[in-house]
Amino acid sequence: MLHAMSFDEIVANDMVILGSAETVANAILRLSGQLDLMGLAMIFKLGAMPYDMVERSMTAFGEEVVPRIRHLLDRDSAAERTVAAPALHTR
Amino acid sequence: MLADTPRPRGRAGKAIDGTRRAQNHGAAGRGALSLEPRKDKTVRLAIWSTTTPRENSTHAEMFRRQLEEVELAERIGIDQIWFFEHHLQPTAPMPSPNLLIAAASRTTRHIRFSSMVNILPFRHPLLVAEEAAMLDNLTGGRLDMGLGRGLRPPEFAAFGVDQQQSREMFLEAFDIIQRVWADENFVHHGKYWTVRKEAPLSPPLVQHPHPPFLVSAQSEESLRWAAEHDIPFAQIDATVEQARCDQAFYREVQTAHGHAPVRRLYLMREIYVGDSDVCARAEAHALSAAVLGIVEPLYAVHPRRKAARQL
Repeated sequence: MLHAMSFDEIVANDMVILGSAETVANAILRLSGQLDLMGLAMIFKLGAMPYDMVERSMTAFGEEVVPRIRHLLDRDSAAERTVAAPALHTR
Repeated sequence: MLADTPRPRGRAGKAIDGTRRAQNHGAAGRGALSLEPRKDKTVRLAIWSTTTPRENSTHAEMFRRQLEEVELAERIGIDQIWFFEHHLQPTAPMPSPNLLIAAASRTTRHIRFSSMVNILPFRHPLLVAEEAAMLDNLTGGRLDMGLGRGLRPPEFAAFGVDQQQSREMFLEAFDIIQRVWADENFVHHGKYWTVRKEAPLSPPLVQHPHPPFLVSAQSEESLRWAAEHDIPFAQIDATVEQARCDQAFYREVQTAHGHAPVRRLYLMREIYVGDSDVCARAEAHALSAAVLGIVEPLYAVHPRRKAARQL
């Protein structure tokens, strides 16, 4: 699908989410409103993006985007991490 | 990924729950714990960590930086890290996501890991189940199990596996993995694999009864199979409209098979946070050919995506 789109179309359709922290947060909030998401699977390395750009972008995401979308996230996830898996059904 | 998938043999009407949360819900919740369901609108944050070589840098350095990114991901509050599996692909040199999970398990404490995916037609299912058990121990129960049947024809050629058989191989392997994880003793003489398990799974799993499953599903056949089993699914380059449509289809099948209509969609998106919209856009535009380069090799061969492009 991406291949059929121009760069402008890709960005306009939130296929690649880029911009300031506020813009990125708003795009994620928009997606979350449009879809019943269990999760967002993010790729921070755009192609062979230089490592320091990846790290800056990830750090900004943590510091400036996560607080803006915090109400979407289950930050009290410590309990979840220790929850037992569901029963594997016997044959 | 699974073409024309029938209900898996011997599994009709039985749920193989996709996550550790599913126990609350519906017919699958036999013997359920009294866990509170997730709040309605909580969204998990996963990073699909790509392995991308750079010019003027070694592959050793590439892996070192990728592992550092995993540590950074944990610090910024990411819930899950996923690693691809590719074979003989110079632009994505990652033949074993399991090895990277093992390495990353040593420098992290909370973040969960998944192969996305272990390609079942290329791996003996007993080894898949046993390696997962090792990773479940190494990560302290932080393993999710991403499974797939493979996509790229050159990889099937490389392994000498007939891609036309990948669906059958996946289903047979999936069945074996569950039996190994259930620590059942059994002898399996299948079409593709023979397994004689007459001793305990060693090491045993940490998560009980097993690590949660994940799949990457784009086609109707794959979606149906995932929904029948209530397994969470990731979509790589779906538009909102496609994803909404697929989500509705998934839910229809999910509920028809006795599962509660819980959210199972992970949507993949590439993200870049810059100083401003203008800066981010300019910087990303310079990389946009490479952006397309990530996704295209993965889905260039996918029938539905091909059809979409022709429209």
